[in-house]
Amino acid sequence: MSHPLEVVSEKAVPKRKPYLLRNWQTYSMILPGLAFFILFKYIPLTGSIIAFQDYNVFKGVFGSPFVGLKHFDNLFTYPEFSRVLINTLLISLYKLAFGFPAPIILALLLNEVRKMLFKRFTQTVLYLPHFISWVIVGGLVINFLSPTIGLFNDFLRWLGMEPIFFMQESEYFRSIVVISGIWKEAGWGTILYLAALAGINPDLYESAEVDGAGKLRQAFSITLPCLIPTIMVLLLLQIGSVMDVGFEQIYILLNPLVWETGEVFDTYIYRVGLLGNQYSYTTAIGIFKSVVGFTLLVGANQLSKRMTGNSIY
Amino acid sequence: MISPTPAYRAFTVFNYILLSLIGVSMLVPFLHILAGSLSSGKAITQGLVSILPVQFTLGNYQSVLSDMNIWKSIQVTILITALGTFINLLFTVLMAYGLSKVDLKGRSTIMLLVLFTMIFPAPIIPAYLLVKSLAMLNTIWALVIPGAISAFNMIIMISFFRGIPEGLTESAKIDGCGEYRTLWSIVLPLSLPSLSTIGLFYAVGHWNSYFQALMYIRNPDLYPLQVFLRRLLVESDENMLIRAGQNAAVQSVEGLKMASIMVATLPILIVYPLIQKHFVKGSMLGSIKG
Amino acid sequence: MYRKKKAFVWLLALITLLSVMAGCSKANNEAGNKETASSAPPASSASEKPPEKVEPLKIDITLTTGNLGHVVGSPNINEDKYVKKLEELSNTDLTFNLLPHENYNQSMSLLLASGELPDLLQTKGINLPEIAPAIDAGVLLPLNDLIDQYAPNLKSKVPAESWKSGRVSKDGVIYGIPGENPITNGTVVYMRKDWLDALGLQIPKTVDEYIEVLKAFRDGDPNGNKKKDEIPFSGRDKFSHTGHFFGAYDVPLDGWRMVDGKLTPNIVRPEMKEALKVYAELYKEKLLDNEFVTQPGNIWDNKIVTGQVGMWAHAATYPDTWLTRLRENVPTAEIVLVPAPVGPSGKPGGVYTIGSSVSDFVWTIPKNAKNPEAIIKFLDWFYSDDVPSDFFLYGLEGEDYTKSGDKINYNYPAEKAQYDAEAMHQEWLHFTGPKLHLTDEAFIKGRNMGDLIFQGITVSQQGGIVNDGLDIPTLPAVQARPELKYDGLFLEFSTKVITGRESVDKFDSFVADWKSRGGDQWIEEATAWYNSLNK
Repeated sequence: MSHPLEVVSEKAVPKRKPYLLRNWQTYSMILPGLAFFILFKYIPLTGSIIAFQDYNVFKGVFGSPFVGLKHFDNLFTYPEFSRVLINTLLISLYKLAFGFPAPIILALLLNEVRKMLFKRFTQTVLYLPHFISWVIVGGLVINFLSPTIGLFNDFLRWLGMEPIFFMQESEYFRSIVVISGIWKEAGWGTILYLAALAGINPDLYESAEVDGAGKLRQAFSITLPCLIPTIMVLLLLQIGSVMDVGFEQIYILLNPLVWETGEVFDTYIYRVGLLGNQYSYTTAIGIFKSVVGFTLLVGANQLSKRMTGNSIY
Repeated sequence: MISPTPAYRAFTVFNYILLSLIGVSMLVPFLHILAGSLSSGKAITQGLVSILPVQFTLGNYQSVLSDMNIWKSIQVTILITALGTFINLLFTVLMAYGLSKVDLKGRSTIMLLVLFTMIFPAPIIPAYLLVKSLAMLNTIWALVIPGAISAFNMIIMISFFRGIPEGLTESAKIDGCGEYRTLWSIVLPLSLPSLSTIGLFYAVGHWNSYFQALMYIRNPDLYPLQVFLRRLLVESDENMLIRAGQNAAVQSVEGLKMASIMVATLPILIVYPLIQKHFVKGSMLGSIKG
Repeated sequence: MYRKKKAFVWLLALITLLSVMAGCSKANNEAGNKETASSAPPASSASEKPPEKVEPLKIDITLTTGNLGHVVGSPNINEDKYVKKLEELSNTDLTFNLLPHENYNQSMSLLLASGELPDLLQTKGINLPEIAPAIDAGVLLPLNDLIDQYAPNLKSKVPAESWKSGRVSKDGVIYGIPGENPITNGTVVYMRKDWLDALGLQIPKTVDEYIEVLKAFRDGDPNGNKKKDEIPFSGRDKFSHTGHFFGAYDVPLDGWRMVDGKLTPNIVRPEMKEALKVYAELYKEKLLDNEFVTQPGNIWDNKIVTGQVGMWAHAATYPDTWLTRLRENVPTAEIVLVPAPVGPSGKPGGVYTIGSSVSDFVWTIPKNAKNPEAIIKFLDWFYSDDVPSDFFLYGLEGEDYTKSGDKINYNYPAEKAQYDAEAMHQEWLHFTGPKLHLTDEAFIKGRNMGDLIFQGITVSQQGGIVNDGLDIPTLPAVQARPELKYDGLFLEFSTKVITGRESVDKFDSFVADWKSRGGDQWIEEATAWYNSLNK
């Protein structure tokens, strides 16, 4: 026991190291990646300034004339601008509403399969369409819906109905896009969820069974809650990409009779790009898309933080 | 284990049927392409091929695989897939683990910075000039460095790392482990499902590498597989299409296209089944108890 | 498990290390090879012809592969036998830098942005959007003086209209050396002669006669299988190879006409309304394949080759391949190549407008080229009297042809590889100069079914519609509003009209709308361009 009058020298108490140094290991892990992003993403990103110029390849970024918001103005005064915007947002919305849950449901269904051989086989088969390019799949879709030789219209005829030229009717286009998109990508999407499901502690299921919970109850009170972090992250990321609806797919399926419901920003950018050397204008359109996507993402992130406690940043 | 209820049994039957139907719908187009690649040109042209080969021939594969250049491009693709995925995982895992610590100062800002690059892509010409100024043009490095980290994959990785119970990392710290040690000995072994998944995503990305190669590579020796094979697929000049039909007796261009799709796709398809065993439930069993 | 994991990681690291080493050495090898190839001592100028051996002229050339099988499949194009022969015959040392055919525009932009230009740069025209800024920036050499001094053959043998083309010169200054295009109207109408014969029909001339024939194809069961499964006329999406009835009314979709002092695109001229009426009728009567709107090239091709189609349009030089493939499925098929339908004006029609006498490619010389005089002389050589036309026309002696005395025995190609090789020396390496393989009657008729091919070329050259806006550049008005082109607003409107979803009477309001959203501006700019060209 120390004497109450003993003075404890200040020098004996070690000073607390600054936060950065204390956690130097963690920061050192982040550093290489951060350097990568700065070098390979942010430096070229400064080239986006060409959206505010009339970019000339020979004058370069520093020599090209500055034109302010001219290209953005050109975009907003495009008479079909609202059509393109609505189509893009609607198709994204449908893909979100229907396409987003599909791999989750599939993963949950697969999770309940006990026979390993069937499970493995089905898993592999499900992601096959992901590897076939839209050039091929688009052709298959058009073929499938053909009024003369398509299987779907054969089915309609068997039901006694008249064949419908689906690809030429604008009211069907968005559905065709969404459904074919789900068919192609849902299987591949299950991979992530299956990985997440593999990380759930089986003890939780055992104790739930002991408590008398049925399979459905288990799914709702254990499986889904454990998947929420993964689901929220993927959902937020998809919201951020709301202006990207899959150029290749739409381009292949599009034809003039369905531009009404099918022309989206990426196909408009393609049309502009075909003229050649339209780097300023196409960059401006890209920036507009990104701003919209980013704004929605920030908003959704805040919402998610408050509602589910999950967020990306 | 408690025996399944009748309701669950019915569900199981329904589940198997549903999954089988969906599986068949995904399998049929693939079988059609496979069948076409093994069929004679005439059969394909006349629309006789559904899911089985008609007038079976290996001529298409002979044609595709006998071209010396394809082996070179397969080599290139294997190289960039192996090297690229390794670099990807190295950078991504490190950064994701660091950022998975919820209470790290500055984490939020860094995440926002990363997210920003995902939504705002860089225009093509500046990206090209950067790669050029780093003297990476026309080399393998142009195909594996500029894409070293995918923001999407990294964000997912972070989410997975967060799923590892803090108790484990805490006990490691108490034992005196630094962050690197903890990552290596505790976290990574428990992260096999996510590592396999993200690794698979990166590997597939490299395997399908096309636009980057077209932009950065001029040397035909360094063209990856997809560039080589797409030339057969994207016949924008229909004259080529017609000239090729000259020896249509055994091979049609359609058959060649289908054979090239098979050659381009089959190798990567078999990767997932091989890593599926890491997706077994309960890989964390015993970790907390131990 | 832990030990296994460790071993796995070491293995992975080892593989990676080996890969890195292989990658590095590969990369360095490639870089090394490229360096030795392009760094060269300055070439000596071969102005006069000295008696002793002259140093071969080193030229760095950048050009597109054109997706030509022989080029794309070559392990090293600089070692190719045809390239070597050309070098030998022209006393040059050529180094080719290839631009891929896919994403060509992007590759060209990146090349220009990088600033590493070759001695000789192949372009598709100096007024194209990628190249035009190069002219303004002074990156490409004006060639007038060089041509006057060193290229007498080019000067005399290249037609005046080629020099005048907007793709070759600007305000009287020549920036490019054009390739030759002798077949300016290349697309012709194909018909199933056996169907015409089976129904006892004459070859139609006017639009009305065409419609009668098409109706007979539809109803008369010319293929004799007791089913009305014939497709009288098939086309492709975006009206590709489907425009013969536009031509009949003087309004092919890609063309312009000077009307009342204004250069007007055909899509908004009043005659277009009549053409649209004809197409609407063809569609309604199922004379025109009702799937053409969404039909890609390979499906269209398949329908024709399996014998379902009575009339279509394609390049005049390919009836031999069409007939060969058609006969595989329908052994008794016959085809005939006919002039496009003639409209009320009585003048010859066409599927497209008459093209430029300038071929797809125009050769420019960047200002940092080593020895531009020698390069001009090299290009002049292609038109000279002592140019080895046998090489360009027939290829390599002993391999592609044999000579007995003065007579040449050419092995006409029969397989894809041979066709690709032919295209190599006839087109790809034939930078400029007379394209004998497209004009020499004896050569053309020597091909398998050569008479048919020659017939096709003759027929096509008799038709075609003049395009007052030939080689027009991409003007600012359309850069801001790309939908003004025929594949934009017009395509949407016309497709709706033809498929019966919109009344053709809406045409006038379509034109008014088109004009108000930038079309008038485009016409102004086009007229100004036309006037400056034709001062």
